[in-house]
Amino acid sequence: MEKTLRLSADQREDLVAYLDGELPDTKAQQIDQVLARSEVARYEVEALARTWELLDVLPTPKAPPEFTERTMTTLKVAEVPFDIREQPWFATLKRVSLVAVWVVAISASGWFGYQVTAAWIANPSQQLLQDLPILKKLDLYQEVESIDFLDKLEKSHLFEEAPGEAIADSKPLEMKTLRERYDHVVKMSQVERDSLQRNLKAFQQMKPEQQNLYRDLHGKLDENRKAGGQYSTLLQTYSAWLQTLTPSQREALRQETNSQQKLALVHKCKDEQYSRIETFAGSPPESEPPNTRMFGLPKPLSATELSNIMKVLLADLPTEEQSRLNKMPKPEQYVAILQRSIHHAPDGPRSWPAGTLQEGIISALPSHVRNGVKKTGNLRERLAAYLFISIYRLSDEARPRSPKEADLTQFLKSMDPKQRALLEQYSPDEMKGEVIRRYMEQHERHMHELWSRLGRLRGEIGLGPPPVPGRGPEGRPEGRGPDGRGPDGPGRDGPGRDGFRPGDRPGGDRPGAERPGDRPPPPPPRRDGKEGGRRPE
Amino acid sequence: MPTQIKPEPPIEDSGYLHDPEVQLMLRAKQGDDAAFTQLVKTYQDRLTNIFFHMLQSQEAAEDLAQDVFLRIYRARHGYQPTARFSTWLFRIANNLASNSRRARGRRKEVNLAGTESGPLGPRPAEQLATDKSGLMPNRQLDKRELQAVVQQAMEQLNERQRMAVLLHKYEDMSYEDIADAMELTSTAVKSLLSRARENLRQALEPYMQLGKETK
Repeated sequence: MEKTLRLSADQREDLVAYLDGELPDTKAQQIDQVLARSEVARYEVEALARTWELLDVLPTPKAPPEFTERTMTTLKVAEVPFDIREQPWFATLKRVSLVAVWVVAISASGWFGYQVTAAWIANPSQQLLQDLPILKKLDLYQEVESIDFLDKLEKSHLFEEAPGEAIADSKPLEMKTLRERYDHVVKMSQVERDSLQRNLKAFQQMKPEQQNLYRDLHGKLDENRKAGGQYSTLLQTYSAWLQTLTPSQREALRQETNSQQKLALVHKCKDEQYSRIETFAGSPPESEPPNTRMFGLPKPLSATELSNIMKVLLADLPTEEQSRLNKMPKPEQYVAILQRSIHHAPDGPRSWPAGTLQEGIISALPSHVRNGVKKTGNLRERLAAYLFISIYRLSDEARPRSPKEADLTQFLKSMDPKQRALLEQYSPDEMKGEVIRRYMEQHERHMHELWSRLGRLRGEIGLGPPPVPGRGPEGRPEGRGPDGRGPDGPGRDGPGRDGFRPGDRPGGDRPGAERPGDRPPPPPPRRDGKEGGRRPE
Repeated sequence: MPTQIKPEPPIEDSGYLHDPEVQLMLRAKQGDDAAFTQLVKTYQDRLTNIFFHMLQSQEAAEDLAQDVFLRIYRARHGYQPTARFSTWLFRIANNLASNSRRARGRRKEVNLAGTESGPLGPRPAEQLATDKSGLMPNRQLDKRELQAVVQQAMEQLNERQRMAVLLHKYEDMSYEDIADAMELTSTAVKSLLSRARENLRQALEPYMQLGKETK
C-alpha cells in the first residue's frame, strides 16, 4: 500500500525545495521518510531531478569578445554632457528652420517690395480716382493755369454775364471716397472715359510741381465756390468764349503762362472779334453791345432763316446770275448774292434794300424778327445790318476749328512742291503742327477776304463811314484807336498792347496805336456776349 | 579660494561589503573604470545567457545586457551596498526583460524559437519539438534535437517561472536571492519554481531517458 502512496500538493512543492536543498531540516526528514516508504514518491523525485538535468543541454550563448570594450565606450559616450546640437533631430530642425527663415525672408522681401512699389510707383487707376475732379476739368484748368489769372480776369470784367446769360456751372459732384469716384467713372460713357484717360496721361507727363499747381487751383476754386464766389462760373464762361477763337488764338493763349500777358492776349482776341463786327456793321451806337442787339434787333438769323432771305435776294437777280450763284459754296455764295443784289438796286446801293425787295425780305423773316425790325426807325439800315451780321455769324461758324486728317492731307498735296519738301524735313509732329498752322492761316486769310468784301459792301450801302485810307482796310471809325476806342475816352485796364504785333490784327498795321502807359483806368463792369465783346465807351 | 570638496557620505556596512563585486562597484563609484570593466567582464556572458533564454535572440540579449550595465554605471554615484551586487544586477535585468517583452508584445513581433530559426518558420528539429504526438521517444535524438525540445519546454513556462528557473539553474541563486532579484517572497519563489519544474517534468518526461543517453 505505501509503495504506491502518492504525494500531496504541499509535499510535491516541498519535494522541489527538498531537491534544491532549500527545505528546513525537519521538513527534509519528513520527505526522507516518505521517500523511504513510497516508490511513487521516489520516482517523482527522480523525474524532477532528471528533468532538471535535461536543462543542461540548453545552449549557453556568450557575449562577443568586443562586448566589454563596446559597452565601456557606450558608457563613456553616454556620460558626455547632453549636447542638443549633436542630436539627429536638431540637424533636421536646423534645416527646417533655415528653410523657414528663407521663406519668411523672401515673403518679407516681397511684402516690403510691394509696399515700396505701391508707395513709389503710383497706380494709374489710383491716381485717376484720386485726381478725378481735377482730371475732369483739366482742359479748363490748362486754359487758365492759375487762380491769379482768374482773379485778373474777374477784375477786368471782360466776362461778366448778364443775368440769365451766365453759363451755369455744373454742380461739382461730391465724391469724397474713392469708391464713389470709381462708381462715377463706371457710369461714364466711353467718350468721357477716353477723355479722362487722355487727361490722365497728360497729367502724368506733367512735372510734380505742375500737377500740384492744378491741385492747388482746384482747391482754391472749390473754396471760392463754397464761399459763394464766381470763379467757377467765370471759368465756364471763359471756356465757352475760347470756343469762339481760332485755333491759333487758343494756342497762343494756352502757351502764355504769365497771367498779365495772358490777360493782354484775351483783350487782343476780344478786340479782333469786335473789329470783325465793326468792319461790316459800321460804327455801333454808343453803349450798345457789338451784336445784333446794338441795332435793336433780335439775335442773328439761323442758317435756315438766312437761306430763306437769300432765296428772296436771289430771285430778284437775273436768271443767268442765279444759276452761276447757285453753284457757289456758302458763305461765299451769300456774300456774292448780297453783292449782286446791292449792285442791282434800281436806286443805287445806298437805297438797298428798297421797294418790293425790302418787302420780300421782311416777309421772309421769322415773325418775331419781323416785328422787331418793323419797330425800328431806320428800317433799311437795320435790315441791312441784320443781314450782314447774320452772314458774318454764318461765315464765322463755317470756319474750320479742328482740321481733319483728310483735309490736312489734301492741303499738303495742294502745296507748292518746294514748300512741301521743306516741311518734310521736319519731324512728324513738327510737320503736322506746321501744316495745321498753314492750313488755318489759309482759311483765316479766306475769311478776312470775305469780311473785307462785306466791309466794302457795308460802305457801299452807307452803313457807317467809308474806309479811311491808312487806318485799316476795314475802315475803322474816325477818331477811334486801334481797339476801336475813342482816343480820349475811358480805356481798359490791362496789359496794353505790348504783346501784339500790328500785323496780328485782321486789318493789318494801324498807325497811331496806343502804348500801355497811355491807357486810362478800367471801365465800369459791362455785359458781354459769347460772340465777342467790347468794352463800353 | 580653494574648491570645497563635498565629502562622500560614509558607506553603511549592511553586511555586503565582503562581497568582492560590491567592492568593485564601490571602486567604480569612486571613478575607477577598471573596476567597472571587471564587473562587465564578470557578468556579460551570464546576462547574455539569461536574456537569450528570455528573448530567444542573441542580438536582443546583448543589447539588454549592455543596457543593464549602462543603468548600473549611471547609478554608480548613488550606489549603496544594501544587497549582493549580483542580486541588484539581476533585479535590473529582470525589470529590463519584463519591459522588453512587453515592448516586443506591443510591437507584435513574432519570436521564433531558437536563434537559427529562419523566416520560413521552425526548422525540422523545432517542428519535431512542437509536434509532440508525432515524437518517437524510441528514436535516438541528437543533441540539437534535444536542445530544441528542451527549449520548447522552457518557452512554455511563463515569464516569471522561466526567470526563476534560469536564475536558479545558471546562477545557482538561492530562493532568497531570487526573491530579492524578482521582488517576491521566498515562499512565492518556492511555489514558482515548484510549478515550473512540474511543468518541465510533464513536458520532458518522454525524453528523460533520451536525455540521459545523450549526455
